[in-house]
Amino acid sequence: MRVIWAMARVVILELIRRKDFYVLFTLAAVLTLLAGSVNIFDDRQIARYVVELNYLLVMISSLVIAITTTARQIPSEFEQRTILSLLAKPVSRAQVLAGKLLGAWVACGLCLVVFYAFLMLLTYSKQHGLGLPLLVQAAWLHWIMLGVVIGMALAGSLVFAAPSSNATICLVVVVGLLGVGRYLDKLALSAAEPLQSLLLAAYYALPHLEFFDLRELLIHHWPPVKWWAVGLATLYGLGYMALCYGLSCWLFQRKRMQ
Amino acid sequence: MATLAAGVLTLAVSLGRMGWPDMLAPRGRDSLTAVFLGETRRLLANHFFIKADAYFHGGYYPSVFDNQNAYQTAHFVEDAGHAESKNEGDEHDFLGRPRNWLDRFGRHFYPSEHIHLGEDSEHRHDHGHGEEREILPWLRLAATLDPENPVTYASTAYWLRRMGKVKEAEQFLREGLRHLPGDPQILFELGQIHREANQDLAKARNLWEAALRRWEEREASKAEPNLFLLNQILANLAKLEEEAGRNAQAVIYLRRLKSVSPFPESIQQWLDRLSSPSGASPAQKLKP
Repeated sequence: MRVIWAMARVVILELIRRKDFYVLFTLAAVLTLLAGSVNIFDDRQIARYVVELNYLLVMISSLVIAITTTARQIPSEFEQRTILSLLAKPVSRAQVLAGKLLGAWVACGLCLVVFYAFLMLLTYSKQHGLGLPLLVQAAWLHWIMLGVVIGMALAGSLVFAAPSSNATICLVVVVGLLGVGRYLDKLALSAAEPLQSLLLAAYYALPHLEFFDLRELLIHHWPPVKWWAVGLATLYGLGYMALCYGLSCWLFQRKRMQ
Repeated sequence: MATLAAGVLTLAVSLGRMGWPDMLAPRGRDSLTAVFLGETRRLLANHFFIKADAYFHGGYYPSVFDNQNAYQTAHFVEDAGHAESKNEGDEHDFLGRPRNWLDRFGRHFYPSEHIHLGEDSEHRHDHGHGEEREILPWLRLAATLDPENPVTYASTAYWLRRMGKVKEAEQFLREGLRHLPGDPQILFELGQIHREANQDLAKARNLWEAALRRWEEREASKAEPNLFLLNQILANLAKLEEEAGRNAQAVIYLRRLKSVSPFPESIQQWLDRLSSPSGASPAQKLKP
């Protein structure tokens, strides 16, 4: 575990040193504050559109950070030829991958803490404080979702040639899953065979990322989700993370080191 | 990204100073949006209009994959009395029964109860009146992108009026009249403001009469005229005249209303009441 954590720390430090997070956070904050400063019919209590805009920016920023950070981890080790010296030490391939995954996941978690703290301050300044339990649930499930996305990007980095292509494909898949993942079974019913079976298989096999998106509940001040449902969703997400990690290990074992 | 944003801002300010907006768009700010967005702005405006309705339902709203029969007419417009309902489905249960275990579990993570903002509901009793304000930003945006849709102005003014923002409602309607001079629907809503909020009956009568004239000019010759609006104008005029004790004028409006109303029987009852000796208006009863 110490070895894994040592490698994870390197990933976290790398994210702190890079400017991605700072730029995205500043951009999100400026855009949100600009939107919030607009005078709409002289009513200062209107708040939900600001929360929606900010949440959208947080969602986009966090996905970009998670995917780009993960996608470059393994390819950069190959590019800088540090992978061989890393594996020459008593470190297994599985530990390398675990370190990368954990590092990227924890780094994204730290970013989320900052993003959600800003969101909370913003809503309190608008006299529309969000319910803390729902905010905690939203942040937690968001983090679990990022774990699944990081797992996908890690597996992708062992398949695709360049980090850019991996990042683009991951982003498209994640946006697709968030947008239509919930309706794939409905689409299947209106399609002919063999598309119908394919869509149904995808519906049951692919991760349902919409379980981790509490945006609508948060924006419209709904009560918190039942904790047992949050717990089950957490297990569901961790299961997919483990699957992606297992797939990554299998791919890494088969990868030639030249 | 920050450099790019700063560059775009600088360019916009520079173009503004150079008088580009006037060259690009002779009618000013709104036409500038038209130049840059073209017909896309109407699509965007429609999107934001629907978004206002989704906000009105606290996020409980059908997607393109769901059954939308109950959401063909925006509920906030229907409640404002500015559109005839075409909704024929079950607005409370468009999701139907869960299709499978994933669908059943997924319903914990998004709104799955029909509500209207400003009304108490089983699960959201701590929220209450005044929440309707949250639909306003989207309506403002819809009006900016498509300033030629009278329904946006009229329904927004209704909700502003309901929230006690009479001055803002009137200003917004006058903005609408600048884009759509003499529009009967906007004139009608302006009359409502003077009737209900300002208690200025003379002004309300003038505005509704103007709305009726404009309706005749613009709608009467159409293949599918807006009869719903005509009904509203005539009914309100008849009620106003009845309250003012001018029953003869009220009867004229009611006879016209009977010919276009989907409920002629109830209009006939109203006519009978006015014609009978005991049906005199409160104003007449007070006369010695």
